[in-house]
Amino acid sequence: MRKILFALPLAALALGTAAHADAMDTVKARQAYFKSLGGVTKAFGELTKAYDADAAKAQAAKLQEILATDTAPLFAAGTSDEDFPGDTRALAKIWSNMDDFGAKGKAMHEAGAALIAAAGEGPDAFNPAFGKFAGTCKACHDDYRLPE
Amino acid sequence: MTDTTEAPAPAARPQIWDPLIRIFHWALVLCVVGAWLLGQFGPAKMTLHMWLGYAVIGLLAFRLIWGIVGPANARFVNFIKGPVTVWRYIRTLPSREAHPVDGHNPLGALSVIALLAVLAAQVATGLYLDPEDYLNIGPLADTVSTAWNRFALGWHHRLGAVILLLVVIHVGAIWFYKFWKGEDLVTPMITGRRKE
Repeated sequence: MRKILFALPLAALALGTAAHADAMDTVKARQAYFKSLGGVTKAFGELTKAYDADAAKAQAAKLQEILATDTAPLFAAGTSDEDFPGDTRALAKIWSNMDDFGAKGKAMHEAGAALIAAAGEGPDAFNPAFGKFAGTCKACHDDYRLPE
Repeated sequence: MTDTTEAPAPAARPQIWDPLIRIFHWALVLCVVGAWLLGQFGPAKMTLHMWLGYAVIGLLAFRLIWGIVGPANARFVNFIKGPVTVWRYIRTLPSREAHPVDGHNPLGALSVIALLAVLAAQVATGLYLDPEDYLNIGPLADTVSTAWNRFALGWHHRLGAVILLLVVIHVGAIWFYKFWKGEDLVTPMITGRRKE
């Protein structure tokens, strides 16, 4: 009995640490997701300066793949900048405004789908579609990301 | 007999602010207010915000030069005073009597320096930040590390609030002089001279 009483807090501590480690994995996975999203968006941005239909279509295929990711697990609770200060810039506000955050995510997916559709259609269709898509990055960064 | 009590002709009133300082002042008002509003409420693509920022760089450069070679009231050495002079001036503020100073008063000088310094920091951070929205990137952001890009972005946001605070203090001070001390500070910044 005494042994169990002694072991319980240790087990709780171990579980807590394991949960924390899992959450850190979530933070890392989330950062990898946005890094790949940012990479494609950056490449698209270059194409607004010098349009190339084939290159745009290649990036569109990559974007399609990235946008197919289920992002809900990437925003599991307990992974905000309050849980991991210095490791993530995802503000705790995300979780207290999940409806608005989700709507902004949906806007990004819709603008992304439109951009994928416009990628091969020439700069007149591609450039405004890109502007709209990148605007959805800004909308979230302004409200839900620590600037530094 | 000539009347010696006649008021002096308007031209005899001394010029407090030279024409270039006045143009500088109102151009800075337009650029800063415009850039601030566009920053807060403008479209996602911030091209005009950036152009206003470049204009502020030009205006600050002019003010720096004018503060060295310009007319007496524009020169930094003439209006930056030590703490004792500033404190002595602060003690005249509660009195409802006007204590007019030609040019910047010792306390107002501090506000001028604060505004110029904060605006300089604001345009500098604007040049180096990267908000990672792939629409707006500081023109020099590529020349520094990501850590510096983020540092610049964080301070560009914070300084926006500081600028608002300084502008509120600036306008509040003008109201204070107008309604507490009966001094009109706006007219000289428009015509260059005090209203008679």
